[in-house]
Amino acid sequence: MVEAFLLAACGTLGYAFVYNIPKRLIPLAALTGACGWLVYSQFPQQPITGCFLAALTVGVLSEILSRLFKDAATLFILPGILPLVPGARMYRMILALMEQNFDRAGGLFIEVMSFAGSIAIALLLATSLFRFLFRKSRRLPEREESPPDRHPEDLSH
Amino acid sequence: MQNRKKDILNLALYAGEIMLRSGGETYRVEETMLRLCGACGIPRVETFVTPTGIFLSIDDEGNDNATFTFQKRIRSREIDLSKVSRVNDFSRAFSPEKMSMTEGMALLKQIDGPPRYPLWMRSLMAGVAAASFTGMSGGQSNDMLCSLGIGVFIYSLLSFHDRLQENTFIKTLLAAAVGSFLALLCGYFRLCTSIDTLIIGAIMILLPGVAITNAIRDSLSADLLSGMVRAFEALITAVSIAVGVGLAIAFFAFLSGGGIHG
Repeated sequence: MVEAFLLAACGTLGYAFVYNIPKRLIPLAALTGACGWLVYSQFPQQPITGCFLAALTVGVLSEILSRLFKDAATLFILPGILPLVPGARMYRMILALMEQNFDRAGGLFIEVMSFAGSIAIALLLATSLFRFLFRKSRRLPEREESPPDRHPEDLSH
Repeated sequence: MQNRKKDILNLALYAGEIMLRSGGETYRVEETMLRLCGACGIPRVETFVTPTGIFLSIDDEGNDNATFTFQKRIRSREIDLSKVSRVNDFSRAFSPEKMSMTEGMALLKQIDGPPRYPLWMRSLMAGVAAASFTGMSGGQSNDMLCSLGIGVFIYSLLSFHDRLQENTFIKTLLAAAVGSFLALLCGYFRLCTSIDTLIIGAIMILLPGVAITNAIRDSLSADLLSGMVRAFEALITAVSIAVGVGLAIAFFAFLSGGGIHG
């Protein structure tokens, strides 16, 4: 388990460099990815549920870190979800297609799509939850003060 | 007065361009440009950002009574999240009282410099990432070592293609094919125990993680057009990876005259 945690941290760390994340945030990004993978590895029987919960962990951690360190949440989310992306299943799907085993390829395709979908929904949930909680602080002052987008004469036709 | 408006437009557009090119989300690009124009005291600003272009209109409702609109086409993209972060900070700190437009432009030009980490470091780290994913999918230490080499090679190849400004999909397809072919060669010369984990490691570097994540975040912010475009980009990238890997396996099987693991 420690080994898996370290491997996931290294993978996320590598990606953090590839994406040019500021140096001070790199250890945090690696930690986010490793925590996600740790959650995922707790559900060997239900990988899609595990993936969903792991992506939710990554999303929530990223939003918290982005508020603590006053930086964009994407900086943590992008490298953080990478260990969860179903590259291995995609590869097995390609192999099945090449062996013309379409039943297996179809099943794997649905699995890959479920993984992608569960990551998407989990991130969506985490982000909208935080936007809802911190609605006041997220809105721009300029927008509130700016006059309505339409001139009064447009509205009266 | 018109010159001032033009300067504001140029500044905001340049900030937006850097952000969009470096992988910022659509709403963040729009917010940044609105914030910059707002800080310069422009009362009416409207912006429309898509992954391939920016539109920005400003109207200061002054006596010249003219609306200015600029467009900027975005063609190339290189993920550099520290640029996104720095432009974000810049837009929050900027105000015309504190610095002039020329100083602002100079600062943006400085942000828009070469990437934060040199190419050799990013290549090495891409190799580390590939090796870790090989390990996570069950590879042994010799597999991880091979994967490290393949990862470094593929990432350097990708950067080389970037310089040629080639089509993203051809680039991904070639990188996936070369990566898989190298993995198969490693297997052929008995350098690794599991070819599969090597190819998985190579695939992980190429996957469109940024496109998927931004597609979700854009759709969530009701930037549906950008969301669709980015989801489509992710889909085509995934297909080109699949085609690349498939081609390499078929070619290798043809060369060695045997099965996939021959």
